Amino acid sequence: MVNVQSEFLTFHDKIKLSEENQELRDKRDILLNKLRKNISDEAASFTTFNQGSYAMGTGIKPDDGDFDIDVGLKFNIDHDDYSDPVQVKQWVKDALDGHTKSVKIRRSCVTVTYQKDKEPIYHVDFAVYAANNADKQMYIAKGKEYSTEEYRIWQLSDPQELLNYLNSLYDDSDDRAQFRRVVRYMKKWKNQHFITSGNNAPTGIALTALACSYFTSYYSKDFLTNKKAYDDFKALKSLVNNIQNAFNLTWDSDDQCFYRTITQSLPVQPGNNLFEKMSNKQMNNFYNQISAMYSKLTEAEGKSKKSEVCQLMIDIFGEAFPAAVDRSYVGTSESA
Amino acid sequence: MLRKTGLKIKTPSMVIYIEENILLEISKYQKQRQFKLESGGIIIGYYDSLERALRITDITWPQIDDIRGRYRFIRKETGHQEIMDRLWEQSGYKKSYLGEWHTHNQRRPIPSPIDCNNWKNISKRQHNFNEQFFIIIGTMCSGIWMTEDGKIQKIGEWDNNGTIM
Repeated sequence: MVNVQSEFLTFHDKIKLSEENQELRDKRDILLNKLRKNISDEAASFTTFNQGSYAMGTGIKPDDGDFDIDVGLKFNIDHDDYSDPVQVKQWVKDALDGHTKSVKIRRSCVTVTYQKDKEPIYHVDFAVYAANNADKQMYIAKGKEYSTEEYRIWQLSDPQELLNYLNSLYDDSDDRAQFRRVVRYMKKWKNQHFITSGNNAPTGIALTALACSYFTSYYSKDFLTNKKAYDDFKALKSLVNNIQNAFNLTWDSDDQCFYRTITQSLPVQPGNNLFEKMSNKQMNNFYNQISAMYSKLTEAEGKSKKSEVCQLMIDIFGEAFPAAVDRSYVGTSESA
Repeated sequence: MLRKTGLKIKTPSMVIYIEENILLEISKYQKQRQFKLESGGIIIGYYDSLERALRITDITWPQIDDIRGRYRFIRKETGHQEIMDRLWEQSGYKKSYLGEWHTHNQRRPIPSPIDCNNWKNISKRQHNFNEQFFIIIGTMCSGIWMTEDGKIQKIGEWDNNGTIM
């Protein structure tokens, strides 16, 4: 087939949200300063770290402009001393309240939403952790202000473990870079083909975890220079194929039919199934979309023209993928 | 002594390599002192995804329909397009049109207003690469300019031994 690696790299440069994004850093820092200044005296001390796709190096720019920043707050407390995790989240909410129109305690974080003309322009999710526990583990505060007791829990969780886990999977940093690129391609594909409301689409973390299970790096080696020439197309196709094969048939007694379903646990604590919130029917839709992508990738392999391959990639990823022409036109030129 | 390797040019946004064979051809041309009539052609290259750099690998020479004058060079499509098509196919659709080169009977070439207009117009056309490159070969030195977002900037200059100035 035609080599489209340079097109993939151009595409990647276009969609990636780099860790050095100054705008996002500034916004995060404004909030962190506010938090440090206003947090009540009775609150425990804390340190901060980046988490989520931003820290993992798998973030993509949002299509709707709603940037998402994940910040972890490690409070210097033992979770056994605070029976109500929402109390700790309340410290954060109270300190940030009034900064913008919306500060909300959500189940797994405290979310600050910045708005412009009533449209959210970005939001920062603060995940709250108890970091000084007798068992040396980390616990995340879960629950909302009006949750009943059973939903106010400290859950074993170490967000930085996932990054360590990823680093442990691939020794070679170039292999990890390909892993990150391919995860970003999957996320862009997801934005193109799913309605993102509710649990219709797989989450970013679910796609990342699937890649942890099923990704293999692909490259050819130049024997002269001993340099690796990465092939993102092949790596993506093999990942998609492996994901497709990971589905099982499940009888759905409500809908009286078989659906293709999938499970994927988070490879680190708490190890939960990242598809638990999706219905069987939603997982079946995910399967159909994965199969459709696989067919397109297979079709692309049989094409001899770069423009045709690029067009298929545009069907998968949208206009951010560069189009190619069948010729390089030279035109005319007049010099003096 | 002519340098044995290509030229590496770094711009704030990218790295460009001019391969050795092109420097050799240019240097040979300069030594033959054929500057009475202007000469020119197109510049061809590809994106090297390993190095993350653009490589200028080929140039075309004046073709039969081109018009060569003392102070002008008009390059037509005929000939150049056919060479481009061939390289495009042979390279697995990697090599593409990257820009233009022409000569000036000047020791150190400076683009004329006509050149600048021409470059701006060319950069507005649809190409496989966003940036275009323009080389002027003078009797002693050669310069390279690029267009990016409609602006022209000089990105390098070398003498006929291939030494970057």
